[in-house]
Amino acid sequence: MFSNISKTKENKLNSRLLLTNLSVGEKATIVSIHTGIEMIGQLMGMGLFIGTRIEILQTGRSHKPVLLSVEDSRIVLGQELANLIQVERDSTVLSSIQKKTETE
Amino acid sequence: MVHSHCELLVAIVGQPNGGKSTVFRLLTKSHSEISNYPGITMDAQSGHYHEGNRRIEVVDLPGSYSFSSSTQEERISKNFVLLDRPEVVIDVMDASNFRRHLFLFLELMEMQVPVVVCLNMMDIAKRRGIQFDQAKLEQLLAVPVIPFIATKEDGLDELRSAILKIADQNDHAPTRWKIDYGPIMEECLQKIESGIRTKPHLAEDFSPRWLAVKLMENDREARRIVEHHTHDDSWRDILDFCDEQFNHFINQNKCSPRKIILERRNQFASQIEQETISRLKPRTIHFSDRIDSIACHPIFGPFLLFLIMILTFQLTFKIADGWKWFPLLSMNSLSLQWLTPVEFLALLFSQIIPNALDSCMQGTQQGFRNLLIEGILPGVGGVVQFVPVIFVMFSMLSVLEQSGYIARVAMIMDRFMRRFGLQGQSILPMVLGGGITGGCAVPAILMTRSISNLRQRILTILVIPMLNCGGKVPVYTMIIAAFFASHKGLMMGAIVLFSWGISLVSAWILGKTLVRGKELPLLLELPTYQFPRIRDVFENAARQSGEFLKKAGTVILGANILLWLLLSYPKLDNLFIDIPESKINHQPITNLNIESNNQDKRIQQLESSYAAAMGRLLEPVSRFAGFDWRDNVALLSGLGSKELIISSMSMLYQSNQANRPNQSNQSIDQQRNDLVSNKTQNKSEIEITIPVDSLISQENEVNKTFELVENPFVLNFNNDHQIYENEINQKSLKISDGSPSESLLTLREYLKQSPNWTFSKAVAMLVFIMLYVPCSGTLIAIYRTTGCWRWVLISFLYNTILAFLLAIIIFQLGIFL
Repeated sequence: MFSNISKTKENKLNSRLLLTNLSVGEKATIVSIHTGIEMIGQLMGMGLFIGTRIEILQTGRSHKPVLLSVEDSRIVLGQELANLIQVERDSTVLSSIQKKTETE
Repeated sequence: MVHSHCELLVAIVGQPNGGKSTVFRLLTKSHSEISNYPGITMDAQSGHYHEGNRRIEVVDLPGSYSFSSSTQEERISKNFVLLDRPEVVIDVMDASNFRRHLFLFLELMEMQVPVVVCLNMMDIAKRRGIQFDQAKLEQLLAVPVIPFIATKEDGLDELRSAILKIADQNDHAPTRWKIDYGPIMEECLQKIESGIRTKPHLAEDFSPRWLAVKLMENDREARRIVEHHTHDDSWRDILDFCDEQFNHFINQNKCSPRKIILERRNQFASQIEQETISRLKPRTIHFSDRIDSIACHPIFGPFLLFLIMILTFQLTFKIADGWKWFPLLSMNSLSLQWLTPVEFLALLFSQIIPNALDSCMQGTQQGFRNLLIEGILPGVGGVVQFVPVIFVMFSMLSVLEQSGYIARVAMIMDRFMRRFGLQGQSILPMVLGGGITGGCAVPAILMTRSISNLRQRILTILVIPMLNCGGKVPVYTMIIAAFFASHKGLMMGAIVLFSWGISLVSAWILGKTLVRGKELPLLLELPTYQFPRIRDVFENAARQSGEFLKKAGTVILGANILLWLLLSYPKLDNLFIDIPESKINHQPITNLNIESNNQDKRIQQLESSYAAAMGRLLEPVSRFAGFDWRDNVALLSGLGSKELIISSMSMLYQSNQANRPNQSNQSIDQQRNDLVSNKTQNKSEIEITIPVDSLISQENEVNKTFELVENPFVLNFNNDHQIYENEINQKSLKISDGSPSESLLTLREYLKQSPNWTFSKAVAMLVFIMLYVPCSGTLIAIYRTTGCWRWVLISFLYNTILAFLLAIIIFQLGIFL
């Protein structure tokens, strides 16, 4: 679909954690975005950029779109797009503490 | 744009869902109108208000998330701000989502235009425990910041004074504000900037700093600006110089300049956020998320969507043409009659107004009177009858849109639609255009303007006319009743499925061949659920209905009149079609033969009209699909609007019956009694009980009924199939009752026993009507929305060819099986 991704990049991506690999309720931080220039601008305008913390509300399993929360907004991404966003899980200890403070 | 001395131009920008439109509406109150940007078919609103003796023009630009991608909304906003030079640009920001909105603000500031920040939704921010240090904010952003609550009109005065303050402050002197991108980047930027300043035209029109930053970002639009705005070929030098700097930077820092620029912007935004915002409460789970856990659920979601669609649809038709809540006071008997809005309008244009005109136009020439009463008036009535349904439909959709549910719809349907090259957002216009039998393609196509991706929009537009709009339903019903009487529901369902199948497959085919372009992935924001504001809902609906009337109504009216002319001319000698005596003098008809005389004349007129000639001309070709000249004329009338097909058919086929052997008078009475006993089930009830200035004898009553439904151009926008059948019966009754020698078959019965109409012809006809050329209103809507005739032509040709091929195949198969 996105022809501006070279083969080497694809291989790199295959070994990393992508947005589509996360499950419901998981929190993560965006590490890198591999879309075209214009898409990055659009994503940034919606609040999705390197260093942003997100939480998964609905997974992208089996080609479904990913629904995630960024700060106070909710964004839906199609699977092809989510596959181009690399993330890093927040440490489990930290997220469970955060969960506790939220529900209180 | 030329501004007069006391005129100010203000533009409103902002991200979607920030309350931009509400701010616009507050500023302009009732002084707003829709305008179209020349060459682009996106909705733009402009209005004005007065401050003292100054007239301030406000333009609401399309919402965009950033100024660095190349969506059409963004291009429009950017171009307006840069080229039209508004004196003030209002950036509407959502206070509860501040960080994200800051990005757009920073990009806006780099364009070096005068800005006023309207910090909207302060109440939601407060509820979430977010507090702003306003003084600090104004200092860091270097512009006035007005806290605002659009829904409560809080902050309007402050906004107005800030606008004046900024407008009077500078004479477009560029501000000194800028983001520091680091020493290396700044060096490159300085060099590019000075290069730009050597081109006076370029430097005058665009801020050199902004251009420099954009060029280092490798922005395509910026390069295009340089190319087009230097008045000689020196633009190549500038671009080469920029590329030099670009590569120099990469070599020095091993990463792209764009990355650095975006990161720096991001850092700056974080800095601002940290210094000016404090959160008192931790982030909580929204009630909106709770709703979404069902609405977006993989299983419950589509189910709920289906229910809501059906509910919306049913409600629309019940309000517009199902429940009788519109009062009509009859002058004679002083009784109150309850009608549906559509029935009321039908009555207005088929009886009340014609009668009134009749009595005023006693002396005028026959031809002109005919044109007015039988041509123009029914045509107008036909279009006006659409209005209740369209108004209610737009209101319903406005409710869905304002509540925020539409975004969820796009999300749920996206995967399915993408298989065929469409996307989730297309589902709504498709349902509106006849997804579940009934609806109208015209507002559906106008609605596709909300789809920002051009390719998707065009695909959706091309596909909508193939669905089952309200005009096709009467024909379906009649044919089904004639040939598939025992499986009515099943056949209707099959038709719906078939039309969807063909639409989706066509979308796929067209997407691979004629409609090329980028396919963008799904990227959507789900706004918080909120209660739609009733006033906004009705204002939107009124605006869109008015648009429909203006754009499509005039064309449909014109087409109707044209068709009437084609059917009535050339006039045969000594055979004027008279309006019967009874209508003029309101006397009971004592001599039925006058009626029958007129009827024979009508039949002859029809058979020798231009329309009939055209029908005969097409016969050699249409024969392969089993259509004779009558079918052709009926189908041609469908060009005006699809509702005309059924009425033309009944007219044309009844004329055929004039040549049949006669039956006894008894059956006339029998039929008449049937009609009277059918009163409780059909619309004739209403027509009969409206008192007219005449003696109420049974004969006259019956005649009046017949006359009312005789008019072929009265459109019936009604989804109730039962009612339709009886109406069709009435039509044929009228004509056959005119003369004792007529046989008394209804159109349905006639077709059933006609040797020309076989099973396969019926199916071929169904498929042809479903798919062939869109009606005139639709074609105009396509032109208005796409801006060029190419797509109108493609729609015309593709649909007709497809329809014809399928009809031929079906008919020929029928012969061999």
